[in-house]
Amino acid sequence: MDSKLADRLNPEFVRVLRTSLTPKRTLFIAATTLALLAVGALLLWNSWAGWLMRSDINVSVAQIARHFGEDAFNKLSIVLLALVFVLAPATAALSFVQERVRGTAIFQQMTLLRPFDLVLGKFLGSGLVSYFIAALVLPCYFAAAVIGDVSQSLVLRMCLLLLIGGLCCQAVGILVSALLSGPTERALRGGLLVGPAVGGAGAITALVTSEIFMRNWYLEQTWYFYGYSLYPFQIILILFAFVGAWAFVGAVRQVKAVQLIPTGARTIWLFFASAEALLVGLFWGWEQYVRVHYFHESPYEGLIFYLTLNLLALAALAGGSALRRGRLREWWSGARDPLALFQRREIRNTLQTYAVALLIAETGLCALWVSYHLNLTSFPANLSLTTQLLPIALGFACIAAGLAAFVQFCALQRFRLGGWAGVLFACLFFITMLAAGATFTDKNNTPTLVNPLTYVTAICEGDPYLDKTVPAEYKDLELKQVIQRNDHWYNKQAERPADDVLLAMTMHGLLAQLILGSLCFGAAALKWRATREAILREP
Amino acid sequence: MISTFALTKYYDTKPAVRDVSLHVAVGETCALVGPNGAGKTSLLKMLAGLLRPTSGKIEVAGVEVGVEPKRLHEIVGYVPDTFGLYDELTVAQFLDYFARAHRVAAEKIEKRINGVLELTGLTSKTRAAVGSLSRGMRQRLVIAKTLLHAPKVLLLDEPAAGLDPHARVELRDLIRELGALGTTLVVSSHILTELADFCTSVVIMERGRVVRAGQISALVAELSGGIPVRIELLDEASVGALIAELQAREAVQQIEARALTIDCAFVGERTALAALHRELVGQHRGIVSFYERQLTVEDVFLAASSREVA
Repeated sequence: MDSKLADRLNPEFVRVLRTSLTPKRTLFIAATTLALLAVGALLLWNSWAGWLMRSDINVSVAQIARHFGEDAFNKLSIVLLALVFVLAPATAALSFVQERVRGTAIFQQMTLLRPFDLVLGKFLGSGLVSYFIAALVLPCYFAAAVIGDVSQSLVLRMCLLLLIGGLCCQAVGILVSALLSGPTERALRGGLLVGPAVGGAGAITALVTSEIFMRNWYLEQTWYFYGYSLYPFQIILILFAFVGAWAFVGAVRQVKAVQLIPTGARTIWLFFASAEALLVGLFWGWEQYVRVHYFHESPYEGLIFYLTLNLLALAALAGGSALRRGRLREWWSGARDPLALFQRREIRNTLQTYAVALLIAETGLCALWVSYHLNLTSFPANLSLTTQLLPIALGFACIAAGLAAFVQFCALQRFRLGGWAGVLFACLFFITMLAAGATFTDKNNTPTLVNPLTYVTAICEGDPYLDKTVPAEYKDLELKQVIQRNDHWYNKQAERPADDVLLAMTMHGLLAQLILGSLCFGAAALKWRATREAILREP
Repeated sequence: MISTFALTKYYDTKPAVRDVSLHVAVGETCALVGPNGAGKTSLLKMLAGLLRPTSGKIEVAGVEVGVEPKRLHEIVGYVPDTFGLYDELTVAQFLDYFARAHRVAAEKIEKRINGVLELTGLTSKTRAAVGSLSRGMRQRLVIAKTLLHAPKVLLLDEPAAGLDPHARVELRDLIRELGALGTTLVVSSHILTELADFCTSVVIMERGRVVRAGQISALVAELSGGIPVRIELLDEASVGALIAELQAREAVQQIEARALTIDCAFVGERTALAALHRELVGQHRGIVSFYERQLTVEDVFLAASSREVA
């Protein structure tokens, strides 16, 4: 490579380029790809020509060419999807792991390359072979589209999917690789599995999303984002861009952590804020439920889904940052002053991040709530603040805080999974409560109300703003038609419980969640104290 | 240049480094010695900013370790005990990558690469694939790569491990040359003879603690308790007679006999030692040689260890 060109490029990218695409290897890949393309095209042409000739239809060469082009376009789409969604991410997933296994990671740690440059170099470099093959295939792909008279819109959609979706999957691969690049043993164990696993996940993603991009009938559907109607593929592209960008940021952050570069908590806060903004945008507004999902869903179901995702994210945050006995032992062995522990940046960041994430989740909840209660001119502006929103928000906060405490409690036990055991137990607990609650005829029972998700169902059922099965008083003609159709089809009208029953149920649930949260806190505090004493007693 | 303050590192409850406070001055070549598991690698990794201490503070050339890792890496070069290389690259490509990764100015890269290749004796291997190099050459290549950004401090962890005797001699010469260039060096090893020739100071570690630290000459004087003298004899009969003679003299202490050799410490002036020499050679015909023994890191280590055990 020209040294002047190398000066301008990312050093890590140049290194990967020199290692992975040597002149001999490049020539071999190019020759093999072109040969396979030629053989594939020949076989495909013969199969179409033979089939059309045999079928007693008077066909011209142009018609055969059109069928051939269309089929070649579809087949090459699969090839490109495999390259970009499977091969490139699988290679990316091995990039950091390989450094660790080979024993070169320590040198990269000592260089003056910024973590961003290091990740960018690996990100660009890891997909080199795949993108080189894709670059050879693309001219044939476009030629097939022209010969097969494939619509330009479809070609453009596929290009967007390949570009943005592919980059997203590759970024996820890099993130996974960076996460596994900690201790050598983990890298060695993960090294064998992580590539195929990420490749498999990429294949599933391609299978699920390519339908939305390739089938024209998806263009007749409308999905909403903050009330704006978008094509489904546009929403998928937004999601890809979001996941890809944050996976990349996550990889940079992980590299910083490995290189012992101090990292602030603000990036995680920003991640939570942007994720919530995206989620709220997808579930935004009562109207979209009536217009789009009137066959299946009510706004409160969207609310439950939103809370479920948030609870899972908070559980993951707690599980990932819970302090295990080993770490506490190390810290307490070094400095025996119990208060000194809380001066550690790691602990301060964790506590702040959890609190901020919870606050962001609550803000999103409020935003969604407002979107379901306002903007409908015919509805009276009643936010049901004290009767519904406040209890739900308070209950959610209690359970989320209690969950963090419970996860920390489990992390201090001798479970092999550490804090993740707590996440697992919490999931099992709520599933059991769900099953137990289902055995009751009405919803006014502790197992149902202690779960913040079923609690929402219990106190929102029959609410004209959140439960679309209730015929509402409105003047908007279009919405009226929709609701009428809905009522007509289902002939179902949920009854709102009497106010005193509702109030009792609300208080019952809130109290149950408050007690559960407090119990978790108490258990964690006692365990923390006992662990500290046990550790300090150790010689 | 390097200062640590109450540095401690625990792995779970196992202490690797305990309460280590030491100072290595500018331009010194410091030997970090101790048996396997003494905490040498952990200490070096902490000095290189690759391992977070459980408690304590490290300063290298005024930069606090853990606060600005990249600024530290501008100053420090680290050669680990075990490593891998990019075998597919040529030596020149390998060094070019690390020169760029260390932000060496583009116009200086070639000159810098040639300089380190010459210093490490790898000029003839410029176009060779890294994978084709011998163990000793690979070691020198890593040192060359570490020197690319001209670090003020060089940390070498067991640099001679796995090298054949010829490669060891070459490595020793290289380290001596680096020391002469003014680089502050910390070299760890559990093979003491490797370090004896070129180290100016020593840090002796055992079970995570620093047992002894300081200038080798000062430690030698302190531990030997006088001028170390070695007398070699012709036969065993002479050994017994000479020991009896030496024991009768107050100025001669710490008498130890080993086969046909007697080691002792002489407390007094060098002129008095010369007089003793003349007297003993005159009286005992079995004396083959009588000389002032140069104490090495090994002697310091053994003396310090025996005191620690005691």
